Amino acid sequence: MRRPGMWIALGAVTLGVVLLGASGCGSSSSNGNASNVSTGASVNEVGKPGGTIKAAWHGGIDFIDPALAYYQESWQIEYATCVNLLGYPDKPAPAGYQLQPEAASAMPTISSDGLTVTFTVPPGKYKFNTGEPVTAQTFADSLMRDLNPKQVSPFVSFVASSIEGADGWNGKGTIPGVQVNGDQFILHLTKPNGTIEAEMATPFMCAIPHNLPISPKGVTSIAGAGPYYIASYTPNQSLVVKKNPNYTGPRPHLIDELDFGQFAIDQNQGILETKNGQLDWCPDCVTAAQSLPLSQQYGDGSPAAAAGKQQMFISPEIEVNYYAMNTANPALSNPLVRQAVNYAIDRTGATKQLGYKAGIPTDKYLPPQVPGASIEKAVYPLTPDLSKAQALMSQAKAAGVKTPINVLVYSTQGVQSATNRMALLTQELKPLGINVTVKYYQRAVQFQEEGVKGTPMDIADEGWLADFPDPYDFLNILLSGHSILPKNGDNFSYFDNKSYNDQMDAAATKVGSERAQTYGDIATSMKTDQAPWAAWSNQTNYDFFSSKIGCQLWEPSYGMDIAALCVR
Amino acid sequence: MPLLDVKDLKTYFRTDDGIVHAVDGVSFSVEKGKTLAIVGESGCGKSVTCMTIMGLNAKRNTITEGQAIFKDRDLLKIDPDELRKIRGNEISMIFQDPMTSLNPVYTIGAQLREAVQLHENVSKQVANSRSVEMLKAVAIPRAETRMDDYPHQFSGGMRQRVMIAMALVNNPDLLIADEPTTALDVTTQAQILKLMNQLQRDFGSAIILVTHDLGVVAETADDVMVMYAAKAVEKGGYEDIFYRPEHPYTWGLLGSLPRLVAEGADLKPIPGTPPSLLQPPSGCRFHLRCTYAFSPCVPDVPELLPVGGESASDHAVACHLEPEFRRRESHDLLHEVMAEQQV
Amino acid sequence: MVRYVIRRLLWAVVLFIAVTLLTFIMFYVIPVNPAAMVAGKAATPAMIKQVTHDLYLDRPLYVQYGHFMKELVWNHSLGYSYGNRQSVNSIIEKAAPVTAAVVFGGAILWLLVAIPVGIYSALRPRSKGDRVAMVGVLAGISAHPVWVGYMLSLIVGYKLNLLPIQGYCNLRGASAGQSCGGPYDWFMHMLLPWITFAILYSAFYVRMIRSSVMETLNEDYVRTARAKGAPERTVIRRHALRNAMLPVVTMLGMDIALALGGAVFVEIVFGLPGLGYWAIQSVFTFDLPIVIGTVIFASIMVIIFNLLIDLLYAVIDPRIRLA
Ligand SMILES: Nc1ncnc2c1ncn2[C@@H]1O[C@H](COP(=O)(O)OP(=O)(O)OP(=O)(O)O)[C@@H](O)[C@H]1O
Ligand SMILES: [Mg+2]
Repeated sequence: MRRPGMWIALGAVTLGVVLLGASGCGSSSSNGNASNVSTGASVNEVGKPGGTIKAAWHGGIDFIDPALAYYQESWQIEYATCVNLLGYPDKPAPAGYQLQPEAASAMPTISSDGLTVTFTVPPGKYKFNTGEPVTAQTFADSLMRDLNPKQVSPFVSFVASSIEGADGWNGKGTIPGVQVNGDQFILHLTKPNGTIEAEMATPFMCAIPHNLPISPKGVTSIAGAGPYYIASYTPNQSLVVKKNPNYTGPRPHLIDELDFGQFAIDQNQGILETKNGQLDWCPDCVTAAQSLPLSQQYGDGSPAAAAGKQQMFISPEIEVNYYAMNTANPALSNPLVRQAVNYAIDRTGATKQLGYKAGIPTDKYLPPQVPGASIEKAVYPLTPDLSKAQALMSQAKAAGVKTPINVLVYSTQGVQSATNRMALLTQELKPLGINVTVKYYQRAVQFQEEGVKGTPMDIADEGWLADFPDPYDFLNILLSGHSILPKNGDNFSYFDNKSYNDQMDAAATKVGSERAQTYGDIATSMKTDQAPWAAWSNQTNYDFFSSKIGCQLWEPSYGMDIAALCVR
Repeated sequence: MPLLDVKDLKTYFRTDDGIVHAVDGVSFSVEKGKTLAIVGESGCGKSVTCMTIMGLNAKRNTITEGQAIFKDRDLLKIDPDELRKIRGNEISMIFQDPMTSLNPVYTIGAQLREAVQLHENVSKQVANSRSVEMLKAVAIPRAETRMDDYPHQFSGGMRQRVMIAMALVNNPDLLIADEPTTALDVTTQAQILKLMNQLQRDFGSAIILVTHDLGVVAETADDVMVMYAAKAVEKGGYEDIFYRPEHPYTWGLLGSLPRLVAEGADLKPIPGTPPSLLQPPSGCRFHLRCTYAFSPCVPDVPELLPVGGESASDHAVACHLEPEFRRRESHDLLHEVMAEQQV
Repeated sequence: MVRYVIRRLLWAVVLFIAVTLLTFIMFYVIPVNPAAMVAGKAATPAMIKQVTHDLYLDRPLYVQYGHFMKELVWNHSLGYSYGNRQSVNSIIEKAAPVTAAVVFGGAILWLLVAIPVGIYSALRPRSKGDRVAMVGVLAGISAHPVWVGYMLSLIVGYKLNLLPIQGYCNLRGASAGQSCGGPYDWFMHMLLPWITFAILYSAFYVRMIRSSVMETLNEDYVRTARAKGAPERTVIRRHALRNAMLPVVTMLGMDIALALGGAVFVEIVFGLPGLGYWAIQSVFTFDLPIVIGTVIFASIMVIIFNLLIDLLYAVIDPRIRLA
């Protein structure tokens, strides 16, 4: 239920340009430092309807099929063209990450044992562009299609284990845990699942027309019930999104049409064309190198922005960059040493290496959009506190830790900011008697190597981009002992603490403010006494538009909100 | 009046290293139907002399002086287009290396016909039959079919025959043959020379035969010019050069002739190497290698003067030695050789 | 001739096997688990195992290669993209014409420039024109195509707004969502890529043609032609140029492979989704089937092209034809 930075990297790849995740291309507001990152500067702009936006992608998208789409870019499209049971409103944070009913008439009712989740879907409240009404059956269709083994959807690994009879379903007949009863769409769970609402709000659960064929290659034509629908799609070539004439919901839908005419645009050239107005938007074109000049000329606080024509937007991602310290290897097995590392590193310095406003330093495990982030306390300093670090090291030595400690760090190859960051880290840890050796890998190889249980790696230079703003996606996935696998694991600090495992398991079943409170507290205490990570920044996303386009809104879960855009 | 009269010919090349004095004031003439042999060591300017007459030097870096009167026209001064009409028609040339002198991408038939049609407005058929005839004349078997073959399908000797056929196809008055046999084996050499002699009788062309092989000269030449370092050092009839040579360099050349060199003979190949033509030696250019050199040889350039006595002869030599001494020495050296050969 | 052709054909088959095997080994021994990539990061071990099996990855390498070759030769299938599950064939089908347009259009342009300039330079060595040409050559060779591409885009496209700088337009007309299409748009969009492409290669070719022509002009048979009394124009056209073009034709054949390398830069800078673009893009995303597919397809094209060049060569050079 999560995309490591890599999936963005897929979208952002280019010749040696920023690889996300381990390296950096984001930032976000955290530690009260959010002021310099916009949350959608043009929200209050009143747009007029009509107009076409000409857009292009540098890296293209993977799929438009909701069962398969998994790039950040394709989720933006899904967000504009889908109706879900529950949805995130087209509003900036914090309202934008509060789930609210969409096709469902209200938030689901959950039985007292937490095992039955019931959504009520008034039929015909939403209609596809074809006229077909959205009903409770629509969502059963969507879920069953996702769970069909022939569809090979990544959503299987999100929910299959928690829905009764879904794990190992052969695709024939029905699933006991998925039930439609009149207007009711009912899920029977195997165990209480605090993320079930968030999961039902992902694009995987997009309303799909009845009888949409199973297609492991992904359908290329699909009706939509959201404010927009996909009018045409040619893989690797073009995508046309048009206003859904049957849409009567509350979401914005001003522009008539959005055309992605190119999937392979060069990033620099895309910027040139956007400046020229030949292109209106290229969501993955702005690189770290371009961000400073573009921000100065067109960003928040620029003369253009003052004249109401801001074109450059920097917005927070649900992402955290961190050093995962391997608790299973002897080098950093003592929590005192890991705490010392947390005091010794320069979070601000490392963030600066990412590029202009490309990140915001933080020590929190939970990105600010995630419930619980405001509960989690800031513990470690953003700039090094060497005396504190050394004091902790002395304590550690008193407890039997021998220096010098030699640590092996895995980082990303071919990314300048990663190389710089590693140089910083080496310097910072030296006074503690920790000698750093860095091994650089291609991004895809790096996390694969880190995920092999028993790896000699002591520190992983990592980043994590969430699919939806939920603390489970960070803590349980990345720091629970259950996430340690022989291969392809995600718990790179190999942190396996019985007490915390239990706490996290319990928190996962909680909902609402209780959930936020519990996770926030877990994060604080885990970070303070065990310190399996040293989190150091949240990343931001860049968007650059032509002067023609307004009404930019950064929706915290999906990013730049396509449905909200307008022509100035 | 001679067919070709060359007077004080000078050809200099501008190069990155300086000016190469490749031919430095050479005069000679060729009579109708006669053969003039130009002999000398490698690099003495034989080829450049021929190329200059033909106007084949690159204009870019060549300086030419003197005269080359051919049928009342100075080949060095006439309009390039005039000269082009003479080339291959009235004066033909064959080159040292038959392997590379034919264009590899055209049949020899095409190349022969081209030679005809460049100078005469005749049909392809006429050009073709003339070419076939010529191929037959140079004794190429199955001439008709071989017309369609490409040069690489011929042996070296056969190619040289083709070259000769191509040179003679327009029945030229003068044939310049620049070492036509050097690249060939001895048997083929002999065949080609015999062929040339025979063709000269049949067609009546005059020939300038360039060679550094005196054996070849002996078989074909009427007149001989000996060149050394861009200058003529001795000139005369075949008999003058072979039986009464007066220049120490000519003696040396004859010394390298296997026929004449016997064991124990004093005649020896000339020691040392020819001088650079970038900065030729002062005085007599041969003085550095000449065993007879004495004081005047270093500063003074010897003139090419008629050899006294037999005034009817064209025999001339450029040497500071006393004429009497030269004659005696020449006689002694050659006599010695003859004597030994008769033993 | 027949034997020559058969020899060439056999050689082409050997090359094909070597190339596929090498590519296959090269990309399959890199330490990324393709199954994990296909199954997604959230995959369970069971899912990875299934995908591993589906992709033949649990079989020994030679079985994988055999399967791959069987698919390739029998079903003409290069497999499916890990990234978006499109068949690699369909991707290449779309990418190949783009690259062909870049390479052949570029080649025509570069020959149109290089042949006259190279010949002119060779005929007038050290003249003013030659010197200008040689400086141009040096500049062309030293300038990286990416830099040239960006400069052209910035000046011709962005500042002067004369030509479009991005994207490929369908020759047959715009498809939905594309703002350009048809021969005119296609041509206009290809102009800057062609120029960029041609700058590098025409520089190479000017130099090569110049030296080839100069060398040929020194050949004995050219002297023979002059001695025959052929006018200078005939000497150059009939005797020198045809021979001078022989090495150029060979080079052209070999440079198609090189040109594909150049096409990578041009395609990336100008947003042309051709083979080069896909090769690079898929290397970065570890989409191995596309990497292998494009490499193999390109290799096959190079092999075929070289075969054609060899045959063409035989037509113009009798020494080969008759050997
Ligand atoms: N185009 C040229 N540019 C510069 N120097 C030249 C040129 N052609 C000939 N030479 C030089 O002029 C001199 C005479 O050359 P030439 O070819 O006439 O010698 P040769 O007597 O024919 O010798 P060989 O017996 O080896 O053919 C040589 O030193 C040669 O290097
Ligand atoms: Mg010579």
